[in-house]
Amino acid sequence: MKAGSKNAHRQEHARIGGKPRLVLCAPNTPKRPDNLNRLYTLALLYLKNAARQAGWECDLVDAYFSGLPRQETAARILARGAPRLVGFCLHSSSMLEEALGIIQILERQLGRTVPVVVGGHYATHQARQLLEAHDRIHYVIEGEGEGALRALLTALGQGRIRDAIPGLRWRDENGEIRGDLPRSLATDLDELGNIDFDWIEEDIGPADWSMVASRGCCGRCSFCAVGPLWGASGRWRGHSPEWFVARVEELVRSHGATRIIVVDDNFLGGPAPDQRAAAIAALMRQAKIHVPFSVMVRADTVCAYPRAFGELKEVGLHHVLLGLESGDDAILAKLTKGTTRQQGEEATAILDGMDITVTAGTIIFHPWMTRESIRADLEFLNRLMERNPRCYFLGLNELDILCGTPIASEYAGDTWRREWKAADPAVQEIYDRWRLIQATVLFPAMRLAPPEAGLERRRAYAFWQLESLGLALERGATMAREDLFSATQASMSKFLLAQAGRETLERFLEIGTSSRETPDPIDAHERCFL
Amino acid sequence: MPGKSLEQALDWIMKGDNGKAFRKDFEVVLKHVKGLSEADIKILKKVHQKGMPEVEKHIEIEVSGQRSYGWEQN
Repeated sequence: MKAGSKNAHRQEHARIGGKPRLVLCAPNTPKRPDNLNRLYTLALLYLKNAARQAGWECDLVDAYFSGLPRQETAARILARGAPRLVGFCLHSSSMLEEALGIIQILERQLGRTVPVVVGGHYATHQARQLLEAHDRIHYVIEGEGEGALRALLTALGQGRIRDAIPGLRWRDENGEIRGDLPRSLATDLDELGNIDFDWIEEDIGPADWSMVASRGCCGRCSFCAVGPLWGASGRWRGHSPEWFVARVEELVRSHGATRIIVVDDNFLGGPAPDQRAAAIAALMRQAKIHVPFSVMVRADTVCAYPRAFGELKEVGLHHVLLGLESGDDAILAKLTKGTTRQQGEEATAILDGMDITVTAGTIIFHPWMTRESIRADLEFLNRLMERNPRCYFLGLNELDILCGTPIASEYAGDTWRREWKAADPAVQEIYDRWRLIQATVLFPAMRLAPPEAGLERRRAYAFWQLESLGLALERGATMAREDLFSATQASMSKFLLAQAGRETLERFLEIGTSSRETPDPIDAHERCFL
Repeated sequence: MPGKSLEQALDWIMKGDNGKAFRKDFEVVLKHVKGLSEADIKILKKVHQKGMPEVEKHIEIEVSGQRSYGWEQN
């Protein structure tokens, strides 16, 4: 078949049963080894509903979840012929890079331009820049995607965009960037429809299922990108308990889910957390469902409504992520966290006392860090884990100052991630050394002896990090980099010997010593929004 | 106990300024920790090799990838 007729054949397939077809894709991007999540992109499931409501066919390619390389991703996008429109979820600059590579492959294979729409955290805050810099991107949806996508598809189905669409920017026939209507938000999340899990046909284990019950957060943390994505900081909208429990029941009964990760930014962010928890627990009991599930909440919610967590524990809650960030109240105030160190300690103790495991979210490195603040954080985390045997943290994180967040307005420029340095150069040097320890010691070890192995392994890695950063902090000023690394390598060697055995230690020590091996090219930090 | 001497040697390297002495002269650990097997010595030599020259290869490298607080545990 000649290329031209092949293309015509593919285009013919783009209209199945007379309906135009959209393919939505979450591009793949590398994960750090301390990112233990294996989450499919729930946004795709919601957007598929929006496409159907607009009368379009919609296929999904979750390359992030399936770990697909570019060629394979492009092949799956074209598996049923050339779609009329391709959409990408862009949550970071590396996802943009991956998407642009995929679009190039699609164009090469089809011999023509492919209409492309993008959305997600990154696209929301870089909409104009994306359209100005990349002529391969034609439409950008800002914020909540369903309404704008539905309106865009309806307009394209009728030939072209005639009137501005809230939340959509696009380049018109003359190359002008258009669209400045304020975004609109769904007033009732249940009306977005029942998301359909049937599309996930491959490689999903019974413990890999995830769900979402709400959007937004009642908190107003200065660094958080959640509020700006969903319209405003402090705004929370929930699915009804009935909707949520019906989806959980579907996952358990129809898909054999044995564990569910509930990925809400704040599971109990509404005005009456205790009533919501009680309603969800009652509905689960009524449906005779008991499934282990995990949620993310604020520490002050746990302190104010401990019974809510007792109710949820009875129907399966087994793990909670608390964004504690710091053990220094002055830093918590800078982050406008709205919680205190004491609340963090209380919340962890309440959950630990219920036999619920706790991941403490941390932000140790930031522009205001001092020796004292780092010392306070290390002491806080150490004490937290010693007092609560079911508590751990995965990494000692740095602050990302992302475009669109309240804190970003204090920094010049309009880039996605604002650069920052600590005010004290000696403290910045400690941070620089820590990043090298992460890259050359901690992460290679985590790849060989993964923290997923269990609670004790995770806690052991957490304690190792506290000890090693403590060494860099307390002796860094008098110790040469080389000597710090000798000591840290020895420390990790001892850790691996105890945790994973001699064979794993030998493999760890081989890394980088072979002339054939070169380190992976690595870009800047990326937070996972998926 | 197998591995005990290796553990002692690693402890010794981690202590005080011993890392500096070890980096400069591998033999110094052998003088301070007795009873190391050939296999232990082989491992210690690799630890020695992975000192700063190894780090320098990574000096321009940053830590990357999609990061997460981690929603889940097993």
